[in-house]
Amino acid sequence: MVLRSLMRVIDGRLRQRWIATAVEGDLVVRSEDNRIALQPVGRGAYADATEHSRVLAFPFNYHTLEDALNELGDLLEQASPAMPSRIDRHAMATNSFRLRHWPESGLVATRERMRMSAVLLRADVSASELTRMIGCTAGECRQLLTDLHDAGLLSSEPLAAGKRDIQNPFLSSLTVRERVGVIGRIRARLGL
Amino acid sequence: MPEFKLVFTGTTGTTGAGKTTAIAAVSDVAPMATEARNMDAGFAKATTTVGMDYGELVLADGETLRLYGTPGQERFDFMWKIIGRGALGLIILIDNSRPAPLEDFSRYLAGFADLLRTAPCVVGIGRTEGHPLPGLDAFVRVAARHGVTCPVIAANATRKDDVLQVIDLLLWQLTAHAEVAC
Repeated sequence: MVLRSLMRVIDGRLRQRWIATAVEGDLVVRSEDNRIALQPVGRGAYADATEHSRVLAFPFNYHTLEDALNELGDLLEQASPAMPSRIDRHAMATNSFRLRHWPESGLVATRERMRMSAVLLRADVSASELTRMIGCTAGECRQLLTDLHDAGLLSSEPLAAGKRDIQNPFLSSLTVRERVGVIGRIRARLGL
Repeated sequence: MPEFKLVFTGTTGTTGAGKTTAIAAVSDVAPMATEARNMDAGFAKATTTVGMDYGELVLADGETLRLYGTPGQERFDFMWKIIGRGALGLIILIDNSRPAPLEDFSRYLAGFADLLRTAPCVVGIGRTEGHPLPGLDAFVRVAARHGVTCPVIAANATRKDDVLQVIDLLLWQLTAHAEVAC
């Protein structure tokens, strides 16, 4: 099981080299610098997770281990000095942005951030479009885009190249005005 | 008069924790549900939805938003495609206290693959307070394996605010389509 887990991790998505050591029925997984460890504990037992540790409870399958290793890889990547550069002012004004996948909960801790992220999942939007749609301040929008970019979650391209397709068959059968109207009426009805 | 449809699906571990409750939280009419005695040992509740739940919202100009809840058990998966056809979006509610919530989630993603190719989705993970693992990020990664990108948030279907937040995120994805993708 451990071998299978590690092979899945190694299969194209491994950013760190992991060392697995079997000890007394537990499995401890450490990064090379020994800073972060994975230590499964017995069924029903939960060790306290600290800032630098993650704990898995037995039984777990290879998906669980793969996810935990990738999570640790993300943490190490965020902590490494080779972080991506921040979005420059020009790109912020001239590019459209798209979210590759939903961020970890810490990055979307407010309702506005969740809403902006939901929009970024479904369409290429510029910072100004996003600000207008959500009704947040330009500063809040820029800060979220910067945070998502720094977490490696954001793709960006010049505005003209952004995809503007619409796939939902029921929305695509309506005019833009009708689409916005329907969504607005649902939102109003629910008090959102 | 135009009609629109939202679909709720997912697992519910105990009565009052899932789709039926979520639909009841926002429906204008008393939701209709087809419950029967639970015969599935994997679901710790006395009754379970065997047909579907139904609720509706009448919008300001007389349009109707229909809310459908699918039966969760795999033996009813033939109904998922039928109910999902033409839906504006999909809401998946997962009970994190069940033995294998990631596998449950994967099953719903596969069952609604056709709908998810064209419609947005939001995933609400319930009972995270007592069952924090797997974490929300694990669900995001499972969705990615199915080619689905969608919000994944903790949501308690017994709290109306949580249900509204899930719907809100679905509507913002639709807004992105309606306003930008044109």
